[in-house]
Amino acid sequence: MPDDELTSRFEGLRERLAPLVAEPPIGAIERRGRRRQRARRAAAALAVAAVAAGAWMLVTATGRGWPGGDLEQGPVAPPPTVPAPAPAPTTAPEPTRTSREPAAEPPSSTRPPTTTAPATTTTVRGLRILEPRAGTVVQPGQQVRMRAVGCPPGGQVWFEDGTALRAGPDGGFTTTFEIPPGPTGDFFLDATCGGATREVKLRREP
Amino acid sequence: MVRATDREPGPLMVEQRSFEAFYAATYRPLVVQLLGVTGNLADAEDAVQEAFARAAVRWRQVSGYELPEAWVRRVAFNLAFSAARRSRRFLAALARIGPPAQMPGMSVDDLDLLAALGRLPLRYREVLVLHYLADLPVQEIAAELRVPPGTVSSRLSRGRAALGRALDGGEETSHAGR
Repeated sequence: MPDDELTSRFEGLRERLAPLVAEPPIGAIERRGRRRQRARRAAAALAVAAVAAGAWMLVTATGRGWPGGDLEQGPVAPPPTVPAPAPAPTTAPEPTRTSREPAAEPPSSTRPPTTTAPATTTTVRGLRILEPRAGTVVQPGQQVRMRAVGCPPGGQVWFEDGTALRAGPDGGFTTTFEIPPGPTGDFFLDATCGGATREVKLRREP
Repeated sequence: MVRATDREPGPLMVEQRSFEAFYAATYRPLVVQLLGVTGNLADAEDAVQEAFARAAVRWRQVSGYELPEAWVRRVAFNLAFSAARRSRRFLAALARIGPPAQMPGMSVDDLDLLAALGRLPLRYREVLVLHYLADLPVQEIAAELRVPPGTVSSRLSRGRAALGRALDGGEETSHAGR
């Protein structure tokens, strides 16, 4: 079809369509925007409160086993080298990692001193998240697999929810996250190894 | 005594007027452009209204952009594309078994053109709409889509050919998204 003919057909379409479009009052648009903003703020506040409550419970639970607690229980474990820090509040609930591969790491709320971790002394070749791809649409409850390469071989990999695993001999790892419920919109998964953090932005749909 | 009407408008008032003027000038053209992407007036209006709602709450930032209209269009296009991806199978089934969309006041030619556009892959539909309905030259489309001008020219050429085939009754299925 010639370009001129196509141009005139589109021009005709544009001229005939414009009068058919009903323009809603601007107040309605602004109210819609404000409603949306309020909903997002409320969801963010709820998420922060949930994370803060989780952090408080974590600190309470960790303090229970320290010396000076209950002397009737006999010998107690030595104190951790680093006091348990409260996780930094974030604007969204953290995803739950449901499986660890290739090697499981005992769950811990405290990161060990970096001087004892061999991973941090190795040069990072470049952490790269291969999977999931940015922009992937996910639903709450969905299991999302993360695959990455470029960590120090055998080094520790940390996730924002405080869990960890060891990278394989090739510096790669694969793990699975469960997407928590929350508002529709951008959602981030991240991983840290050898001082490098990478995140991938997903889109959470209801 | 200074009456309210005698006062100079404050910054908030100016900002409000500026958004109103922007909205009045761009709402209809943007809906028409989105209609070329969605093929459905209700979906087009919904995407544009949502994009304007997002612009309204951050108007101070958006109004500082060189082309606020391009920002709103980008958001509306993204919303329309997301909705299209989610409902692609549903729409394909509806197109096979359902009646054509009801749009009073539109000619058969217009409906044919929209239906043919709707059968093209989104990446072709997007450049055709930006070129023919938004009247943007190749360079501006390339800047808006953040792709090289050669890519836009290529998509435009292939999209034009595919649209011609679709208008002639040939089958062109939407397969690749963007």
